[in-house]
Amino acid sequence: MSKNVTVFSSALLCLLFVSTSSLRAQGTSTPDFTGVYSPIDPFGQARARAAANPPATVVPSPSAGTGAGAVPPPRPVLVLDGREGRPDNAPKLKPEYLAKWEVIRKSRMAGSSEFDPNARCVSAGMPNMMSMTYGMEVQHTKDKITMYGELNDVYRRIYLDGRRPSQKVLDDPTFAGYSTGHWEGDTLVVDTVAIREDALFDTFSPHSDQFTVRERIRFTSPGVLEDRITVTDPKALLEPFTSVRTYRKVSAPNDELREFSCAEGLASVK
Amino acid sequence: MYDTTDQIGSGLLTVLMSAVAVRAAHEAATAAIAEGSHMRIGSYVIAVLLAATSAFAHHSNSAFDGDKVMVLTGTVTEWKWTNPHVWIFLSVDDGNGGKVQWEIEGRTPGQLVRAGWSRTTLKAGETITVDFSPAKDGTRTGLLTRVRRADGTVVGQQTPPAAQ
Repeated sequence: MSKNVTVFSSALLCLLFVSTSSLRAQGTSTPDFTGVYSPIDPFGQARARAAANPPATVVPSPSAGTGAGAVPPPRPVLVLDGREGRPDNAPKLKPEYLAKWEVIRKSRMAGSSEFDPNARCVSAGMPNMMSMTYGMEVQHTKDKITMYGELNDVYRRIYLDGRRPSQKVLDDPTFAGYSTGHWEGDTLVVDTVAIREDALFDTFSPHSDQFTVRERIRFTSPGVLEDRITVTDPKALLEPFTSVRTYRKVSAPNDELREFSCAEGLASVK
Repeated sequence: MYDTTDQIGSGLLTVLMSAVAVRAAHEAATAAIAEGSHMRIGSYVIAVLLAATSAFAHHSNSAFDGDKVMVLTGTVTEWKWTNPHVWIFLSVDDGNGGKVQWEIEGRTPGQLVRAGWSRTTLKAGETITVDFSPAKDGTRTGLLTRVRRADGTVVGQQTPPAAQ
């Protein structure tokens, strides 16, 4: 009997611990997003398009090695350089910005990295930094959420304490922009402003200084985080554009981000 | 949504080379690839030697031709475990009795660690076969797809699915 009571009490304590830890951020019914996450299929759409393309040509080479030809080559690494054109589901740009995008596309097709922020070791900015391709760590307190991304060692902060962006902030755009959030039930609604104009968004699309981002972040099931991202830009976009990213919470030993230190590669001059 | 994420990129490469020499190298390379001829590849090698010093830089994956895969066997001369991408420097027979160096760019160490690699996965002096997509500009560089050791063992790049 006493053993049963002990087991029951332990189970109750465990339950209590789990509930309090997942709810502790707000002390209410709002969830705690703290954790390390891996993106769920970040290249899904691109892969689907690539799969529709013919397989790569194996180029004859002077030194393929004995018997190497007997092993079929794997699919090449996905190269997205704009040759696929503008997908139907891409953001609907106004003509002036579509022309800018065409310049970017031609540059990329020619092999240039001029418009690829990651290649220059700078943040992809909001909202593209939310690809979190190599993993994301979230620290969530009552007043602030900090998100770290392994790709390019990026980070952003979402203020939850009711503050609003000052004029000084608005006059000083950054890649990640300035984010404030509030709760609507179990969903965190985040507004981001003051994003640099040269931080391209989906499919390398350019935007104006009136570009803003609204996110709705929530758990759709235990450990699965969804970020529903809607961007608005009355100067560059014909209509708001929405995309959805999902992430899965990971546990040890896969819950550690690695240092990226991108500039190491830029400093390759001997 | 997806395309600024797994980039490997930069325009540093072209800074190292004169435009005229690059064009000559590229034309020779294109001809060599189209015909698959050792003689043409030999002229390509000469053109590239005139044009390039080192391709070792940081690239966007838009710098590579994802529609092509090349397969080369050679000796590792240097293995760079560096951010943002690893590099394999490979000494390869040029088909004319000489050697040329290829510089193959891989993924980021963080991803490769999760795929089971480490800074000691490759060693200078080791013979390996690499699959890669060649650079668009015809320099002797490429985007790594797969490594095979002399005994045929595949050193894959796939990251296992994240643990729940």
